[in-house]
Amino acid sequence: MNLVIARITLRQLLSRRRTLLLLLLGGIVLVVAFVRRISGDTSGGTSDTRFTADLLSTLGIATLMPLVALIFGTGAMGAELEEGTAVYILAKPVSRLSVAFTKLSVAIVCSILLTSVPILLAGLLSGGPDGPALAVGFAVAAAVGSAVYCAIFMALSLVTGRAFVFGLAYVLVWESFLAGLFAGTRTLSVREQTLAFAAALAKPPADVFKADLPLGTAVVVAVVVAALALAITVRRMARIEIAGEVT
Amino acid sequence: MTAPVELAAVSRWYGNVVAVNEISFELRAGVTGLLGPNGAGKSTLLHLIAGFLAPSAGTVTVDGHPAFGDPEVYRRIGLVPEREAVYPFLTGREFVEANARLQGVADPVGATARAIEQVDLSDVQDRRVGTYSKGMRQRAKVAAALVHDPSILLLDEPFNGMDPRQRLHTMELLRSLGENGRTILFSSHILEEVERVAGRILVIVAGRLAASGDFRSIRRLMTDRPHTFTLRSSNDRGLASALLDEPAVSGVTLDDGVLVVRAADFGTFSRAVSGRARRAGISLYELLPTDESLESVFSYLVRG
Amino acid sequence: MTLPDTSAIYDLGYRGYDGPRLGRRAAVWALFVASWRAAWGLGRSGRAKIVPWGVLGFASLPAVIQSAVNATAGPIAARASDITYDNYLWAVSILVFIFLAAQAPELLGGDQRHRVLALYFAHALERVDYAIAKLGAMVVSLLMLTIAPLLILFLGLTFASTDLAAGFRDQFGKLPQILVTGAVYAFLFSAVGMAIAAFTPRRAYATGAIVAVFLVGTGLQALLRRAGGSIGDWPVLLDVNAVAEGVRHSLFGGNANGPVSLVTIPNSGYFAAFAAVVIVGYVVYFWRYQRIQA
Repeated sequence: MNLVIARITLRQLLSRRRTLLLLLLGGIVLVVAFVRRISGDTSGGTSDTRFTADLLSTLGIATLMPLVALIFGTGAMGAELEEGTAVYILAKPVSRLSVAFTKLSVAIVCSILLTSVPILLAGLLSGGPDGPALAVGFAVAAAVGSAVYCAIFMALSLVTGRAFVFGLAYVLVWESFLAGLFAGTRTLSVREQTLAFAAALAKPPADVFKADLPLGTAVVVAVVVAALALAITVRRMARIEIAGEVT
Repeated sequence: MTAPVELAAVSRWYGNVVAVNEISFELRAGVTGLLGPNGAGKSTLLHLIAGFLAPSAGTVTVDGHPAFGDPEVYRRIGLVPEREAVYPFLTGREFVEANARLQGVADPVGATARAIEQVDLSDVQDRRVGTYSKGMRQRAKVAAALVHDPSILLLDEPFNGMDPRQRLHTMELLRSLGENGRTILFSSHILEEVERVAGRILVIVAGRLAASGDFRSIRRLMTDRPHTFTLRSSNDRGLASALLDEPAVSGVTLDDGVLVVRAADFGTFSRAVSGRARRAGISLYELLPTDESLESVFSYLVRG
Repeated sequence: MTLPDTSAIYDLGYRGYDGPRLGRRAAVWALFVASWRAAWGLGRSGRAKIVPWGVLGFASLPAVIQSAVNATAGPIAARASDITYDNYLWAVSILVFIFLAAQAPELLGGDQRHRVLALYFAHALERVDYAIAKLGAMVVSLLMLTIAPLLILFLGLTFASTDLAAGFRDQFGKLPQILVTGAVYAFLFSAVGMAIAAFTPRRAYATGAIVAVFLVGTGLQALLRRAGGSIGDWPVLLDVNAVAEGVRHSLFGGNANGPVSLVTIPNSGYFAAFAAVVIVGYVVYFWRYQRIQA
């Protein structure tokens, strides 16, 4: 863990515009929870718990988490690679593992701050008797999910110059569209894995919330994917090619 | 003993485009200028030496070790890339200091101060780099490359954007660093810069090494192109007719009171001219080679 | 005696232009045409054509199929079909949205990224002209996308009927719906997409942001409606597609599609939302181009 790189990456990622936009996104989740709280209206038969589970799994895990992780995961190394400032980080006798690990850690921490915190607060707010359990469960699961996402997206940024578009396509096409159609693709969906963690941690009753993926599978796949992503990142960084301007 | 930087038959291609074509040379202590037109492959060559591109063929070694894929090599190398972008949110001092820390320098703050002093950036060091002019940014990059006292310094178009005063200062800096035993390679497409600072030059044209060495000796090697000399004497006209007789001379021009002689072989001519003048009873005041400039060397090599 | 001097040296250097200049109108038109062509990938590589023409193709496909079916099976099939003027645009709205998310950044991002706005504004083009031309290109493109498939359906249903004149009279009444609904979608979507795309030179970010606005809106409105309380059914107006459908339904009736069929809010709500989004979106868009640093 390299403090100099960490400081620089932190300042790069948390630019004012970016942070505000992502806070706004997280704020939307809170607003919905808030509306629910002040209305206190359980008409339509949805209990508070059920509503909270739905809120956290759709707006929280399925929307907020991937978007935040996409921005930070591709941005951790992406900006430097695109602008050419990567030379200053890499033309140093610092091991590539150290560089990759530091940048990934910063990206993960930023993602967790802007994902798990809103999720936790929203869960507590929209409440229900099982509220706190749901809130904590989903927040922790979101932290893990963010970590896996960030690892994947950072590896992507070292493989292609258009990491953001491909990451977006993965989230929209693979995780939203295909996973809805083909059950098999769910195993490789970070979203489904995260939901499995949430179910295991919060232990909600089956009619409130149920994950599609068994916990064991989710854990194994998530760990393997994240480790693989980090390995790819380190390897590509070790043999990275940076040309000068086309002169 | 291995030279600090050695290239052996290095080629680099991108698909069908050959950027660097079988280039071999050694870099030793002192300042070497890498000269070539735009698109010749100067940046590619520098990045190959800096370990940021892998050679498609051949070997690039720095102090005996391959340059590519080895972070340890950066203890010895300082690179000043051409790309303008630098972290805009850091101040000049923070930027140089970050580089110092990443290099593991023992006293980062002190080294930073020294480096900033060397490039004359002290009065703007606490401003954010995003507010710097192009010349200031260049100097910040040079400071960042010098802060860990590297034995090898690679600079890609370092004088770009500098005003004349900054340029002179940096040239002087490079000269003194070279005299102190560092190995310095800088690229440029501006002849005057290279002429003033570099002891040796490497001329690269369309990916191939067209010439290497001291540019005056290169000029003398170009025997198929006549050298031109300007002479002043007590009797230019008489000297002109005397020289026409001389086999080494291929042409004489008397133009506006200036005698210009074209000679195929520098050595033979310079030996012959004093004899001729003496026999004709003419005093020689001045003999100047007029095209021993890097410009003529360069244009000859570029036109191929 | 001196001979008349007939030799001369000719200056082949730079020459100024003193002829007539076409002026502002022509400049705006030229930019509009160029932008429209860019939106459809004309004059560019094959890759740039995939999204726009692919979307148009897929959006027209149901109409083509329906027409073919009608032609062979006759008017009976037309009555029994699922594809009508009422639900067509709702069904293909995701395709229109894809076009917007992909091409709005394409229109606006490149000029910002490569900093050529200064070049534009140095000509007869004012800032507002640039904005109008670009916006016009997107609106026209969206109109093509929303109207063309329906026109295909219109023609298909007309020609399927045995009595051409009667068939034409039947379908003719639908023309206003076709045109107006298409316009509603075009203006609404363009207001959202162009306002967002104007703010960043990075095309991927703009696409992501447009996607986010649509997705979040859809998810949000369902949740907020369930959240209950005095907020009632109003959150449905957060979904851009629902607003368009709501306007269509209010004007032309028929079966409502999507969330609009599940909620009860006054028609004026949809109109107000439509007007609000279009006005705010366009104002933000134009303001951005007044203030952007060229």
